[in-house]
Amino acid sequence: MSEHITHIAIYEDLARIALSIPEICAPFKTCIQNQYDSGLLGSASRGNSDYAVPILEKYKDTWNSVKSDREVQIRIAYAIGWLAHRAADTGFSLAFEAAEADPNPLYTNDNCRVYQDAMTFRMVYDGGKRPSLSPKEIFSQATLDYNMRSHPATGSIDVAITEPLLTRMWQADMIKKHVFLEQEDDFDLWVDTFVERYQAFTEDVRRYEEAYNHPDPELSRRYYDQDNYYDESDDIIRYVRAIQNGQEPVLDLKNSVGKAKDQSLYARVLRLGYFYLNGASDYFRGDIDKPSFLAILEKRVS
Amino acid sequence: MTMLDRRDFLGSLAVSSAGSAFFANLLLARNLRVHGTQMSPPNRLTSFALLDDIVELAMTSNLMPANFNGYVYSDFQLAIPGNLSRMGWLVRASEQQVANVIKREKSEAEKTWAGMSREDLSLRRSKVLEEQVKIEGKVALMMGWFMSRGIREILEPVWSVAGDSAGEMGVYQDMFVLKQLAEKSATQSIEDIEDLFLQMNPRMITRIHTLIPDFDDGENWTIRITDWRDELKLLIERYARAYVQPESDKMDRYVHQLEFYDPDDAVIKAARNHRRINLSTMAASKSLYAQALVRGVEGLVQGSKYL
Repeated sequence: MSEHITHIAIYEDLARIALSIPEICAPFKTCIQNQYDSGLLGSASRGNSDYAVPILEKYKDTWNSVKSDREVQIRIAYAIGWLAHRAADTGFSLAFEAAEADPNPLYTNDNCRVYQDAMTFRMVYDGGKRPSLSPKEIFSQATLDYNMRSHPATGSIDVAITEPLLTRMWQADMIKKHVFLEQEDDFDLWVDTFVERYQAFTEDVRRYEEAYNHPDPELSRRYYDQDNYYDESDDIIRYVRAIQNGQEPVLDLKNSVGKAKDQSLYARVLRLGYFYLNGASDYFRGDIDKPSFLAILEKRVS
Repeated sequence: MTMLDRRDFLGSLAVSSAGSAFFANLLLARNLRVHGTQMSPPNRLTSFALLDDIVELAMTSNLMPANFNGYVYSDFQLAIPGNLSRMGWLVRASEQQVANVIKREKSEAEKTWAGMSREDLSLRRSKVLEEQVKIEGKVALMMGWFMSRGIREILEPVWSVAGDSAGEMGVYQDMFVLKQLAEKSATQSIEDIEDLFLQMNPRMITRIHTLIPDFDDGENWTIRITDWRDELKLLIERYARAYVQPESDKMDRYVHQLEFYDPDDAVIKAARNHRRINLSTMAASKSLYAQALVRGVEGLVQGSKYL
């Protein structure tokens, strides 16, 4: 499974593609533009195989009568985010599996995920200087700084004390969004569900800080160079970065997608996401049937 | 002024202050110690600070058996069972129900980990660890219920008084507590504090890796979790304002007049300075926070009997 920053980077890059080409249907563009953060959260969520297709199926034939409904737009944006998540997970798993299979104990799946996420932060978000398009996903150079120490407020308040308190509040907020919490009467089941559903702190953010600020040269060679993780000269990456930087993309997208087949892993994941997105759009418009769409979602990176 | 005199004084103050039925109700709740409410408990930063203090005091003072620590020791950087104890205030159950879960899970744990050392189980991300977190996590959650006794019995009655539907009292109390714990120097910039807090949210999502949907109601959950980002932003804006530029009348009403938190309370001082306490000195605590702290430690000691 890939990581948070990479999940949302793939979503944001796919959203840039979606909004720039006529092949993607107008309803998708509306939902991405109006509910951008929902798509971003979708890309950061589990459950793509449970929800993405049913949501699109539910609204594809009734869109015109529900298109101004905020909740419908949120669900569709979320489904688009879920598809981006699917592309990221299936694509980047190639590198993670290779790391896991490597006989050298240094090259673990965990290290690979953390290092590649740190690189995504550097390359896609320019280490926090290029913002997310979501006003609710706020990055800066402090994001992967040790204890956020470059943030101007850290001189007056202790992050090491404040962050665990706020983080725990959000952890509790998230479980409170599940209906069982108020509705499950069987206490044993309630407890079992709580422990299944609560958002455990499975990742140690200090490892990301270390990988970003003091990367181990050997791990960098393995996960960036040997895996050919990210190459800013790949056409599809140049295409989305141009849009991100406020420029008109001069490259032809279809040609760029074609070339991505043999390029960096990040470019290949974007290519896969492009296929998913196009398939979803064609399905939503009624140009292809459900089995054809499902077949597209079985595509893997080249 | 004795405790009783002070209550009378506060009571008369409340009644005389321009139709402040709200404040009078608050004082009533403060003094009546209303037990347990079925309302969904509010999510307050104060609760997490308090739960940490409870564990700190209980551990420093050796009030718990050794096998207890794993269930209440918490590290938010790591996936460990004790983290679940910090959410015990969300549990609504009787002591018997809680005790039954502990009994069931303890026996499950003993069967599962028979013959394995802690070191064997420490391999991060292993399936073993996931199972361990689930089984021991349930016990930890139940321990959290015991630790939350003071939240339920002392703080929630104050928080649930009608008239504070906007949660202003919680905002002021939370930021007062945070300032006691984390302030390094005074700041004038609301924007900087707000930005810092908001920037912690993507780091939080990194830490949890991925959002787990409500699999009972997934499509509607997408709406609720979308709204959550707006809700948290709104709360952070209010937090930052109350942290940097609190209005003095509100600080007075929500914190000082209620005697919500007194850094000079012996138990609070002991928690801050990592000092041992004994149960008899704890009984003299004045502020609501200190009283909830004492009740929480007592709850934890009570809970340890079931292990």
